[in-house]
Amino acid sequence: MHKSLEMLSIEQVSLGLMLIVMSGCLMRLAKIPLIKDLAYASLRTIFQLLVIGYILALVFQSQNWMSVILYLGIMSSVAGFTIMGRLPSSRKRNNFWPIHLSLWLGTGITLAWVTRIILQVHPWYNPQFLIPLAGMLLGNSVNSATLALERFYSEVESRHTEIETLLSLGATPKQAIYSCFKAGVMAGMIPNINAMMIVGIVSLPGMMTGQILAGQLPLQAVGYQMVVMFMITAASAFTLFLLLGLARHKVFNQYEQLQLSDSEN
Amino acid sequence: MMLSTQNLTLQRRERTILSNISLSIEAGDIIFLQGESGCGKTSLLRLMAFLESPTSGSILFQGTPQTKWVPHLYRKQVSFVFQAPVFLPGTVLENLDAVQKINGKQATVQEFYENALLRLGLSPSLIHNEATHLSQGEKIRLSIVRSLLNTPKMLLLDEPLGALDKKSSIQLLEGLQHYKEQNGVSIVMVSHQQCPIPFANRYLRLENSSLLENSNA
Repeated sequence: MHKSLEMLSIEQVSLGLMLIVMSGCLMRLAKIPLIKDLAYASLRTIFQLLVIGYILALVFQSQNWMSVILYLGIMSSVAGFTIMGRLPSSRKRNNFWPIHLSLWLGTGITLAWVTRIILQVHPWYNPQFLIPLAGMLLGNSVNSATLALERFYSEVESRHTEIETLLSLGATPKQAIYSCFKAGVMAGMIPNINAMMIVGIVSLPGMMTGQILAGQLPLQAVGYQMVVMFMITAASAFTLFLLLGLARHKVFNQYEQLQLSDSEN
Repeated sequence: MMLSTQNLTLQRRERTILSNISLSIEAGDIIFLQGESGCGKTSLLRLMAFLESPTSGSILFQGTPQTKWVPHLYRKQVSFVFQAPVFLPGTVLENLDAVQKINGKQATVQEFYENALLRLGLSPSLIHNEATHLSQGEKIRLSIVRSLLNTPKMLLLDEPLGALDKKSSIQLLEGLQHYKEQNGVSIVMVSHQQCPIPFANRYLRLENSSLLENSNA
């Protein structure tokens, strides 16, 4: 018999907080100076999740496509600025639109495929599906895109002589930058591929865990988890190809000259 | 007139690298450009190769401003060879084939490459060696062979003699002279060393950001 989740009381959540208090006591005993950080992080967890919970409750209640799209837009913007925050300042300006466009399109295409074709969600903007699924896609795409961009730019800097050698042999910018593009895509995709290799063996992933806790049978939960793994990997792939496809053009000026991050040109 | 520069100035981080350089290069000219290390010789070649743009001034190639050319087509005509050449992972053959791929051509018959290697004093037996494992002198000569596959109208060579002994230097220069006689290419070679044989028809010197022409070698 499968027991589904009931709403937790304040007392039950407080018992969960006790685990953090116990962790803090261990740190105090071992004189590890992380107690303040732990306390601050716990308070932020409570505050942020409460705020998000109330906002989501409003969005769910509104049953209005505009509020769902607005919420998704905010999520996507925060994701985009998170990626931009990891870039050196000389690269930020040129990457605002590539990052945001690739996130919108990469996530949007995948989300549309999953909600319209696989799950056949009705209405199309049902927040119960769109928001959590978009959250999973964006969270993973942020990590993949950050890894890919960091690797791409580091390859451009370290291989600049190779790139200029290829330009000198008459290569187009796309031809000259291909090895950096390839390295960036691989850096972004390998964590997703590794996750697919070990899923279910090392730990049960979040979607499956949530479904089982909510009372779903394991074999039913597994089906959803497969779709989640595929959609996360696909969204990362679409985002990366779009992002690096746009970013590689920005590394050259209008005369097909390579622009390094500290270039005066 | 193959290439001309007009009042070229290049500044970087408020430092003047080149100042009002005006130079005319005719078809078939071989120019030997000397100067102290750091005087701007490589920068001048890079401007001529369209790898960088000047702060002011202009460059014309075959009468057309450099900026009006499609850059990657320009660079097939005006080929720059780096002082420290870089090769892709793979054999000498694969690196030469890569140039053909850039041009959308099929891989060329091996004998063609072997003759090209011989012309500049490289042994054809190197063709299946890893390009990155060659000696510095072999790499420099291979990088010139690679550039010549595009049959450029102008070849810009940055310090090719630096890593070569006297015999190899002479072999390289004679190979280039022979190539120039057959194909009419113009050559600009930069070096901080003296030229070991009569090679060029013009000798220039870059000093204090300005260009001087020597009537004597």
